[in-house]
This record gives sequence, structure tokens and C-alpha cells, in this order.
Amino acid sequence: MLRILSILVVLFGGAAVGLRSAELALDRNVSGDLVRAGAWEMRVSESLVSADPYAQAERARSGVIPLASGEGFTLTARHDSQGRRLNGRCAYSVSGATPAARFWSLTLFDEGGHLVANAAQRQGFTSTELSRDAKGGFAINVGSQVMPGDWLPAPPAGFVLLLRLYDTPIGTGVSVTPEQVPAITRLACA
Amino acid sequence: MRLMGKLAEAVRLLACLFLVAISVHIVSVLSVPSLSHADAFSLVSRLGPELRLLPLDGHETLLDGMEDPDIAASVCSFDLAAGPVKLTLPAGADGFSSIALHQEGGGAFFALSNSAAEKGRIEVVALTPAQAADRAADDDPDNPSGEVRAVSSRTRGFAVFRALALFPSQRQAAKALIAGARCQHVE
Repeated sequence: MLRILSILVVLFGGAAVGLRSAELALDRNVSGDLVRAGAWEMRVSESLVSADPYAQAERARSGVIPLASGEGFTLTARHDSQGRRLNGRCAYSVSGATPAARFWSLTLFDEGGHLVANAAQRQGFTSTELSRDAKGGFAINVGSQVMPGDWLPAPPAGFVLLLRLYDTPIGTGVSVTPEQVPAITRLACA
Repeated sequence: MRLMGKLAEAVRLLACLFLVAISVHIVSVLSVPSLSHADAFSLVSRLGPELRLLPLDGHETLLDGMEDPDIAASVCSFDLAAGPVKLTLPAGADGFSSIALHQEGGGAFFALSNSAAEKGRIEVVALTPAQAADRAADDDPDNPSGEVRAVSSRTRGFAVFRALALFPSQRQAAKALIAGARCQHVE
């Protein structure tokens, strides 16, 4: 009787641990394709047919259609360059270099992944509509209060920035270094 | 001695439990892509019939997780079992537009942007390896077709057409461009 009980514990206990650990692994994005550069993170093999099994499972559960290699590449920022969570109660400047790409766009979402409605009807910028300095540099100001220059309104709460590179060599075996991505500098907090 | 025996039995049970857990973990992760009904191919297939161009208005979260408001996009699903499929997007070299081909089970097997546009369009023929071999055998070496071919290891898949509006005022034009895309079977 004790023997049967032990076998049942091993089978059901093992199955429960195995299923729960698989669920946790997928929820916490443990796949090895998550790479960080500065404030930005990116999934280097997200669109590949040969992505690792965890990345394939995460993709199958999410239903998203990632930009394909040869089409574009997406970088996500949830923190500033000092590693502090992005929050609209603070003002930020997004400036510096961007990886090689024919075009790019920077879009702001709330933490639930939704675009944020605002009076300025501004949810992002493309690389062609920014003001540039004499050296071609840009600075996008992000915050919930009106700011001079290229202002991207944020909600007075946590938010996420997505930098999409269109027509870029990134993603086809070309990696991104922290020097190649824009810095997200916290300016002041309310 | 009796205590040692019980300890050994407990260790044996724990090791078995660990092995069962690892096996279940691996099988679960590997089986998610084939069992999921929330993957991109399943979602696109449910939007409409094969080869019909379907704008992604209202379904933008299908794209890369969070919609880019400056991107207009449409999709069509296809089944190569009925023959090769030609995907066409009328697009000049200005701005950004693209065709990406994804296969059932996940992953893009081909993508082309308008930097490779010719004669005012981007065009690609999706085929199975067998169809690609047949087509290559029919090619005239003295008069190459110039056709762009993308070989998929799976018969079913879908195409995504994207166009970027460089300015908010160009969003309608980007949608109009995407609406001109075509998905059709070819001989």
C-alpha cells in the first residue's frame, strides 16, 4: 500500500512540478534569446523558425507576429539608463545613437501594452519627423507634463517604450552594443 | 541500519520525482507550439479564408505585441498544398514597406522590404521544396525569370504586408498601399 502511494506521489508530484515549472519558465521569459543593451532589451531569435524551444513556446502562446529578420527589429525599454523603472511622474530625455536602420519609430505604451490617448494625439515619433541638431542628433522628451521640443506625452504612471528599426541589419546575426542605442536619461520627478 | 534504508528509499523517491518533473517540463515546453490555438497562424486563419487580404485594423496586437500606430498592415493565409502562392505589394522605393512570410508553427521563413522593389512592386513566390525543384527545372538558363522564390518547410503559412507612415498625415496613404497587396496561386 505504501509502495503504491509512493509511486502515485512520484508520478503526480513530478507531473505537477514539471507543469508548474514550465508555466513559470514561459511566464518569466527564460529563453536565452533575451539580450540587453543599455536601457533596451531585445529578442534576437524571436522571428526565426529555428528559435530555441522556450522562445517558440512563448511565441506560440503570445500570438504576436514579430518583425521578421530582413524586415525590422524591435527593442523594448521598461527602465531608464540607470535601471530605474520608467514612470510618467518623472521626465526623461531619449537621445543619442540609434542602430543602423533606414527608418525607425519610437512608441510609448502603458504597462498593459496599450497606446495612451492624449490631447496632443501623439503616441510616438518616426525618425523622419524629429527635429535634429546640427550634427543630426535628436532628443525626444518624455513625460506627463508639457515639455519643449519633441515631446512624447506619458501617462502619470509606469510606461514602456518600443524602438522599432525598419530595414536594419540587426537581427541577422548583428548584435547591438550599449553605445548604439539611445540613452534614456531621467531629468526630474514630480 | 533501518534508518539508512529509509533514507535511501526517500532519496530514490525524490530522484524519481525529479526525473518525472524534468520529463514533464520538457514535453510541455516542446508541445506548446503544436497544441496552442493562440499562435499567430491560428489567429490569422480565423480572421478569414485563405488568400483573402485582411487588413489588421483592430487586430494590430497581432503584430509585434504592441501596435505601431505608424504601421498599416494586412495579412493573408495560404496553403502551398494547392500550389505555389505569389505575394505582391505595389510599392516604390520611397518610405518603408515589406512582405514577410511566416509558417505554421511559428517563425518567418522570408522577408523582403521595398529597398528591393522592382518595377514599382515587391513580389515573392512561396513554394514547398518540391515545387521549388520543379520550378528550377523549368527555368530557362538563357532567360532567367528573375522571380524571387521563398521555400517553406511547412505547407501552411501566412504573409504580412506592412507599410510605414513616415508622418501622421501619411497613415491613410499607407493603408491604401497595403490594400493593394495581392495573394494568389500561380502555376
